[in-house]
Amino acid sequence: MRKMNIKGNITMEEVVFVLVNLIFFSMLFVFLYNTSQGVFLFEKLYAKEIALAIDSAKPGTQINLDVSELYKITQKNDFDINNAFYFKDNKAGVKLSDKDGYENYYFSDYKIESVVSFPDEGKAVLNIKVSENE
Amino acid sequence: MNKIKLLKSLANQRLLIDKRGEKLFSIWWFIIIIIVGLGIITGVNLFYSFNLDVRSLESDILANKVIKCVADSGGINVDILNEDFDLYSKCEISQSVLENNKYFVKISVMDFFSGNVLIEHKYGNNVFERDCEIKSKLIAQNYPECSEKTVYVIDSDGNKYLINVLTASNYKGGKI
Repeated sequence: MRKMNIKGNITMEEVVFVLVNLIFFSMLFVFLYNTSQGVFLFEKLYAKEIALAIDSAKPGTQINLDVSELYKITQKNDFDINNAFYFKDNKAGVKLSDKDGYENYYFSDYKIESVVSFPDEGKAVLNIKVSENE
Repeated sequence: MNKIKLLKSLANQRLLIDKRGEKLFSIWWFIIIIIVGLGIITGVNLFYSFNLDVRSLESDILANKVIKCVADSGGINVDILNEDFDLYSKCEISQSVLENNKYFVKISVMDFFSGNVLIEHKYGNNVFERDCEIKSKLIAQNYPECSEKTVYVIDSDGNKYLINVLTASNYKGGKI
């Protein structure tokens, strides 16, 4: 074994070491990619954006939000984008797959109605109508 | 002959030491790899969560909403001078959301000239009032984000007031 080392041959320990390092760094890269491109990030981002938009709006406002980015994700996840957004108990929820979604409170006591429209192929717009609570 | 044997044994010992030094897997390697991994994961999570922290925006929007409700272009909303002023029905703010311990609103109406507080209304988590005071003096990450606005208003009789609105939010959203 020692002779082999001196000659410059690769030992089993070195092979395993390189493999373990490769696995470790691959896992880190997968984590980084999933975090930056992941569904969770988009769900969080849009839920907060929608909640802030509702809180900033006056009754009678129509908010049109381009959700084409989310449309692509829902198509990839085989999920209906019409079920991706919901407004219940003062919470704006975004769900882009069959798994858990993300929700954010809006403190304005308004009645919220929403519908997703498709102006062009591959494009999707979330139309939110803010009106006074009856 | 003995010298040669001694040299050989010394050489063997060195080889052993070298071999131990070349050991690839050790407890230190595992510790380093765990520290590096945890560091990257923590850094990435902090980076993405920081960009999505909208608490200061939220408290700012809440303060604006309250200000617009209690003082419009026509002057002061006289209801604010009553003890039983109901923020929720007058300002279209959800009571259930504001009272879930994540928000705070304080409205103080002061006399413009003397600065005396005429009436004060507090809603939500009262602890945040002190937290906002602390936060204004030092950086505290888990404390609520606060917003304070003061406006000058007059009533129909020409009386002048200062309305101070302090709002705080510590709501970070959550999974469904």
